[in-house]
Amino acid sequence: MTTRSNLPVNHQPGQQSTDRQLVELVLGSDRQAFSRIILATEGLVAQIVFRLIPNEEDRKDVAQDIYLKVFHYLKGFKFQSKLSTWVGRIAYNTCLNRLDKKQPDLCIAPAHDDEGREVFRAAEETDRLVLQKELRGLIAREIARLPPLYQTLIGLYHQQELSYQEIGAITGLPEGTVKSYLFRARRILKETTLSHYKKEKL
Amino acid sequence: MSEKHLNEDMLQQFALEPASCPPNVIAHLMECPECFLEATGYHQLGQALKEQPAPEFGFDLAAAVMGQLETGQGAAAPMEEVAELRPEVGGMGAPTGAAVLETPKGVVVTVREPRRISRVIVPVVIAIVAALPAWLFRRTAYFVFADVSEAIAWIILAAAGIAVVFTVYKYYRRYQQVLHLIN
Repeated sequence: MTTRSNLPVNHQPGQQSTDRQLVELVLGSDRQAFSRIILATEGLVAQIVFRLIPNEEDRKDVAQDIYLKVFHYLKGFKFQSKLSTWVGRIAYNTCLNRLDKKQPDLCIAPAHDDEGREVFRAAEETDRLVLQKELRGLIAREIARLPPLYQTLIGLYHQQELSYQEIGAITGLPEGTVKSYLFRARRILKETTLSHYKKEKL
Repeated sequence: MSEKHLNEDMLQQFALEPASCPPNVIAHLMECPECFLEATGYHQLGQALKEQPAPEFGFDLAAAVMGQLETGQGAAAPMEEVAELRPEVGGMGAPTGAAVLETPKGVVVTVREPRRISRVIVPVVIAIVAALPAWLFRRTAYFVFADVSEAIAWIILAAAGIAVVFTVYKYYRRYQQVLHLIN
């Protein structure tokens, strides 16, 4: 897991030198170095592929396709970003191209009411000490109900700990849009989670 | 303390990115138990999101890819894939705000969202550049166009109008493509 940083995506000296070494090794026909790139970026790619590609079999194909593209076009990498961000961008675009044929609703959010505060207060009154494990399970289910794009952003921000800038570089969305989608996704998650507890209590 | 409660965005910012939270927001939260409770909810949500199990491929991805590379199965990428990849790969960094579009014919269009500053400055500069000579040479221009025959004047106006319409249409189409990609 990477550490979130406020530094621009293309200004991380240590990371840059490691990336450069790895890329040079791969371009110098050291294929084992490429498997190191795969291992280093697999988690990020999985976050994107699992959120955007619902079918298990498709995921396998897409994941391999992504790394084959990375391998073939590695010499075109200009070190203007972290290697992982570049790989993430290829993963995201590959998934989008795959999904484009199926016309997914990447951003359509489920309907939700606007009574978050009331619901939250109710939940607070009824049961503030929610077991963390139970909450995690519930949130996992609620995440799965979010639109794929929101799921991807949540995964990249909260689990991969990428900055808004890095997520923007991967998804091609402006930072403000990333931030706004994330706020919206978390709000939906909070409201649906609390609604669940409210219903359970009733 | 302000009577008005904090909005959801501020609550989330306090709960998840306290370092970037404005002092007045923090001050409000320290004195407002309702907002603090709301923010605590987001903090717990953030923790739960962080603790979610990371998705993992159920197979050895590195071995599978390396195997394909060894056997040469992934060696030849078709031309359309190269075209498709150009912005994905060479474009990195494709700047934030750039959208990669592929038309049904496989033609790739990269649409870059104008930067915020240029969105304001460029139209202002264009307006000044266009308005200044028009203002300075307004008398001359009047006499030039006064001597031009009506037919030629209409042709010039029509050509300018068509150019403007096409330009607007082009940008509208790109905007629609970007929206389609995002939605």
